[in-house]
Amino acid sequence: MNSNRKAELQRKLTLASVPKPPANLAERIKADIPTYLKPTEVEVERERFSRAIAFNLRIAASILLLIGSLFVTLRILSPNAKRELATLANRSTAPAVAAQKDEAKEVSATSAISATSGTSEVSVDIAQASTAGPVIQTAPVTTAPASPSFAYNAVEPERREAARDAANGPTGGVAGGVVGGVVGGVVGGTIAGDARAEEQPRAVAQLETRDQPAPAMAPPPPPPANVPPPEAVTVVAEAPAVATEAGSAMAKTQARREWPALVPSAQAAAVDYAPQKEVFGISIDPQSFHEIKSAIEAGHRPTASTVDIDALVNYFAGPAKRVRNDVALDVEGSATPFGNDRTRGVLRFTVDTATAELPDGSSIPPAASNAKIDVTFDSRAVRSFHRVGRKEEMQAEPTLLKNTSVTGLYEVELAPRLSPRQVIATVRLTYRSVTDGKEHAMTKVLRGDQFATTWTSSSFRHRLASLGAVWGETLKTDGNAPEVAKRAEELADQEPKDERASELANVARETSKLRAGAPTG
Amino acid sequence: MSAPWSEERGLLNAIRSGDRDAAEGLVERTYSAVYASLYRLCGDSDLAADLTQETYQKAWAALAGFDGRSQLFTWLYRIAYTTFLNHVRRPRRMTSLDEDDAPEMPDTTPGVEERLADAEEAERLRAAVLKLPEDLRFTVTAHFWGGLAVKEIAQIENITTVAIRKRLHRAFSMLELALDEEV
Repeated sequence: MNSNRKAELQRKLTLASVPKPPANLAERIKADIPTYLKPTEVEVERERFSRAIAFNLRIAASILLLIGSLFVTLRILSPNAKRELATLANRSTAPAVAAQKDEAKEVSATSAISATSGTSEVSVDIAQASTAGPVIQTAPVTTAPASPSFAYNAVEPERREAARDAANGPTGGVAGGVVGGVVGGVVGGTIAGDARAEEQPRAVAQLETRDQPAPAMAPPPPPPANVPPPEAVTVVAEAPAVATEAGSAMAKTQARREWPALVPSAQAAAVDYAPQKEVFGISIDPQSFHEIKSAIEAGHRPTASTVDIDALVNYFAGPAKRVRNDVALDVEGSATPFGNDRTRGVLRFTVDTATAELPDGSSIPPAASNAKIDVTFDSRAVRSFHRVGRKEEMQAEPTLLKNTSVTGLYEVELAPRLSPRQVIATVRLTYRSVTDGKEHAMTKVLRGDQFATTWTSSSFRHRLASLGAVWGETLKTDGNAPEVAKRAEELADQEPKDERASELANVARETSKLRAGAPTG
Repeated sequence: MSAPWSEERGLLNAIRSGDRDAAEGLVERTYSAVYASLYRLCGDSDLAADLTQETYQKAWAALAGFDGRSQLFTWLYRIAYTTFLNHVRRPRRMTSLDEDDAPEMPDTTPGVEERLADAEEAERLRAAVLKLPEDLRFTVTAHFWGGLAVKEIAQIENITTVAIRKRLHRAFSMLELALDEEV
């Protein structure tokens, strides 16, 4: 709105003509003035009373607020609060690391549940107490059906959730404490506390079995004298009758099978993450390149079976400079590095996860879980395609760690005369974010006008990755390594700060020397 | 309309102490402005007069609860505005803000067309103002038709003067849009 229009509107609003009030209006109004303008005693009292009540209410509200603030402050300052905060933090990250890790099963295998008995409902009450060791109380077992059943009681999700929260424990839910109680053997009557258990909140687990008699149980250990009444979290699951500390080996076997369903294996899996060597079934292990390089430098030509082209592609594609989001997806297409056939091209997708500054040797936190990537080619634009490297289909990735990049290449044969808007390929990445716990989907569509008609006009990362793939093929097939070296040198000249291009140039040059009758490794 | 604070305070105390003359003095001092603001709101002189009378009736009843923190006229305007809204919302007495039921009055005097055009435009503007969201409507009417200062409106609405100015800006944008659409 310009100032003229505004001024005009203001003028119209202000200068709207108003007729004079009717002559008798003042008299009419005056006639309504009550005889007794002065408030009556009752009105005064009522007013005073309402003001007094309002004042009292304000005082009461202030006191309540003060008490509430004190309570919250004390809670925050108390030692338990830190543990609870850690539990909350774990709860937010636990879904991300998912239950697919085998470690969880191994940890949970220490649960000592007797499988020899029949089905029973086991109620596990887990509570946090502030003092010494965890205590297990076993409730009487009432019945014993013949066949054991480990069917997990799906009727009580809240209780499961509560148990999972308790099981997460303050420090990731793995080492002793409550997690030790659940994952590491609390059910069997043994709370597995390791050296760190002293730092953990104590667990009190109360096991109840119903509907069947149980085998002989060891009496519960006496509770410590200063254990305060626990805030119980109850988990109910159908499980065999409970064995005690000396539970049988079979019980352990059964527990290995069943407890991961009750306790998310993420707690165990979240402990130690080294850099991933394979993502989506694509090898990203840089060691593969270094081994090949060492062999070539030693004058040995690596055998075709040892050349992992996926790993080479990923080595030369390199990591992203900096990724702020949980996950980033990059899709690019270009003509092939060699040859003039414009219908042949290379499609690249790269998934980069969030960049994290981590001290040396520390575990890498997860960026996403349940990640899946799907590449679809439009048959109107693509006559044929195949993935460069392994021929196996890509797999879903249970956990994507931060600081991870994975690149996949496809060699495609395009239909001639593509229209600019013609879809060539659609790459769809789905994952569950660790940040918000929600499912996300990213879709990148590569169209005709986005396909670089010359290889040199594509990005540096794309060129280096595809050149790395070609070099890998030369290793397998005794192809044209000098051409690769030449292209790589051009790239190295363009990006002198990037050592990978010069590395590729060097190894490609060395490879070409090995071509004729060179010894193979 | 707005008397010095001490004078207004004295008048209020006098009325509260039962001084009828003081009450009549208040009426004399303020009723024209209250009527004018109500006329601008409803666009009908008779209705504005009725609503003005109703406003004062409510004012006398509510006088004991008036804490004197705002100016008397500001307080009266708020009552008048609420009275108008109540009138509009009353089902049986609700009048359409969109339709112009007034019969056409042929007039052959020179310049009458211009005056008619002005009146039509004023009516369209009034209708557009009344269609604004409540917070914007009150701000615009209180400022332009009630003559309240931005600071006073801010005090009534318990927000900052900056927020009131923002409201006015938004209201202008919406009014411009509404008027343009009608054209």
